[in-house]
Amino acid sequence: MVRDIILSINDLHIDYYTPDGVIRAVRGVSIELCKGESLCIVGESGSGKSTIGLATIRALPQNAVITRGAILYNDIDILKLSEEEMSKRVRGKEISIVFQDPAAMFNPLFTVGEILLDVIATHLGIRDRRKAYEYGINMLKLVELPDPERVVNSYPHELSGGMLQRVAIAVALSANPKLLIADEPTTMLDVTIQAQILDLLKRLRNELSLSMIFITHNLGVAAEVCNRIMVLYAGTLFEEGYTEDILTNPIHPYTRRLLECIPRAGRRVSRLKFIPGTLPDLRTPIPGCPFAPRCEYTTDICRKTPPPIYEVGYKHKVSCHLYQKR
Amino acid sequence: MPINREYIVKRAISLIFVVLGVIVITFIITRVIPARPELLWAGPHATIEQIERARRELHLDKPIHIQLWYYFTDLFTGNWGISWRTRMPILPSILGALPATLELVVFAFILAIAIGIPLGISAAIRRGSSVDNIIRIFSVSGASTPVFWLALLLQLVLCNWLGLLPAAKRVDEYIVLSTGFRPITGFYIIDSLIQGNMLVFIDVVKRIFLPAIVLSLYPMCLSIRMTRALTLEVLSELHVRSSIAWGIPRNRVLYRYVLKNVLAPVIASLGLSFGYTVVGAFMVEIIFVWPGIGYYTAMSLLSYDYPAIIGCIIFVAILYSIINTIVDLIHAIIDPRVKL
Ligand SMILES: Nc1ncnc2c1ncn2[C@@H]1O[C@H](COP(=O)(O)OP(=O)(O)OP(=O)(O)O)[C@@H](O)[C@H]1O
Ligand SMILES: [Mg+2]
Repeated sequence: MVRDIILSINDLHIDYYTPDGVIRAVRGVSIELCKGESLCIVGESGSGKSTIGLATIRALPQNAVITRGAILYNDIDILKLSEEEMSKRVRGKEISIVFQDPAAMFNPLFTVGEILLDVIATHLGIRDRRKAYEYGINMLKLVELPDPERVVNSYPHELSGGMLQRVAIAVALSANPKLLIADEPTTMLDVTIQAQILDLLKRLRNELSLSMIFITHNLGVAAEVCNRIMVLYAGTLFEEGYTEDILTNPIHPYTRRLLECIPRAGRRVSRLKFIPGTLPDLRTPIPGCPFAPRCEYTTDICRKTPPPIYEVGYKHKVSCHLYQKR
Repeated sequence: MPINREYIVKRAISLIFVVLGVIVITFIITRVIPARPELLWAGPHATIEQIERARRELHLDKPIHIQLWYYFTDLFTGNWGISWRTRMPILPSILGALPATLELVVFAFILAIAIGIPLGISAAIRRGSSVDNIIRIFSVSGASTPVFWLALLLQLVLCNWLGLLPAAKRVDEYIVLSTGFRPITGFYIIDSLIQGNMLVFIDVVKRIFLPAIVLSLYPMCLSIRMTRALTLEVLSELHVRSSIAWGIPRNRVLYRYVLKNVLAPVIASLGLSFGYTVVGAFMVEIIFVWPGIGYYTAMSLLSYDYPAIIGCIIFVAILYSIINTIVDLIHAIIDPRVKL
């Protein structure tokens, strides 16, 4: 079954220049996303998930440099477009994004409606305020916001986190993008609201036949929303495959540890599990596998040579020396 | 933003206390400095008896709290006293001088904002470039330049050597007389425009330009630095990134959204710098012979004209309070989270 590829990222390298040195945040990541697919990027804090998401829509901070790689959206070479073309053709219209912190996504001095209507007017060229307003209200209804007429005239501080996240989704989708990047959209919400937002995203994905990149550090969430999962660690790919394969047949020791970390009802644990140790310092070169210092199966080769990527099943890849030794 | 009546009342009450405090403090300071204003009042070649009589007339022989009592009772009947220097009633003199100062200060602040904010923004968006460095050097050196020195220097170069601008006064009396210009509001720029008197208008603008530039230097540099720092801060906030990522063009994000975030705090800091500007106005008005409150106050200070000094200081205190109230209101209009 061959399906159209909507996004292909090839060997992406991204560095951050800071006063304390160069942080090599993304170290050769490749992604292929088909139309209608949703891919989840999972990894702990600092593994470079957001950096990849931001690069895709060219909204990286000033001190970030894409040193190598290519990002192709359909036939558009994202990294070659000018800033104006990005705003005009891609951002919001083809690819859109929602972030983690709903309150910080909106300028506190403007009503959320002003942003929403500005995006609508910019992209859809609706100059008639009345029509833009109606369109905006419909978008707010689409994301199941009660009382959209009130919400549209509210300032961010007058709305709850869950409502703001819905508004953000409405703004992001208002110009009918085909690809939505959701960067930990539920991390800052409380659990019941999290579930609602996840349901909403799943519903919208089906109704609008969106492709989606969903970023999270919670494999449980990933499993619920996405049909493919990619495990990222220190800016490199560890394991990638269909959700069922990853959940039932995890290969990489890190993926297994992540799976053990999902708290589940019915499974009695005396305490929540976690993975001891931290990410390596991204400013220094990492000669072998970046997980080697924390891994219980580490051997000499792990510390010295970076593991290659093995195809272990249908569209199931893993990057670990252990696989070879099996 | 509904203006809260409680806020206005609170502000008015605090204004009363500020003015009372200012009066008491100024009263004490003027009374403890070793000066003999009765000598001025008695005039030159006065005899000992005349000087003694002057002391009694000015109540300087009474204890300070009695003098303060006299002053307060007069003040509340609307009598601000007679200037010991000019022997004219003080309140009308101050009110007459007020428009000159206000015109100068407002003009200076408009210059400061109109130049300072764009410069601050261009420095911020070109952070680290040579443009940024030049603007930063200008803002640091400008804020530390003494007002009187700059005033004298510009006067020397632009007026004396190059003869480009007139060096003193608000308006040329000859032009006033020959064109029949009459002050109405006391703001000559407005008055000349109302009367359609272009000759006076041009002369007034030419004359206000130099003192206003000098006076605006400090608030201008302050607003450059504030604007630059705030713009950098706001630009790093998530809402800028998300607006751009949703497809709003970068320039629109900057000038429609970020600018508003920057404006409120910059205006607030300018309001706070108002006190400094008034002190600057004292010097500038003396150097440019500008018949405003600064000039009047400076003259009163030099001749130990106690009632005039206190009158002027009350006015400056009131002005300061009003400006800060206005700044608060502007802040509340710009920022919906601010509740007054
Ligand atoms: N603006 C920046 N300047 C310097 N370093 C940065 C910047 N943004 C991110 N980094 C660094 O890049 C690395 C990857 O960051 P990134 O935000 O992509 O991680 P993440 O996986 O999204 O983490 P989180 O789960 O905390 O969001 C981290 O080490 C981080 O410290
Ligand atoms: Mg992140």
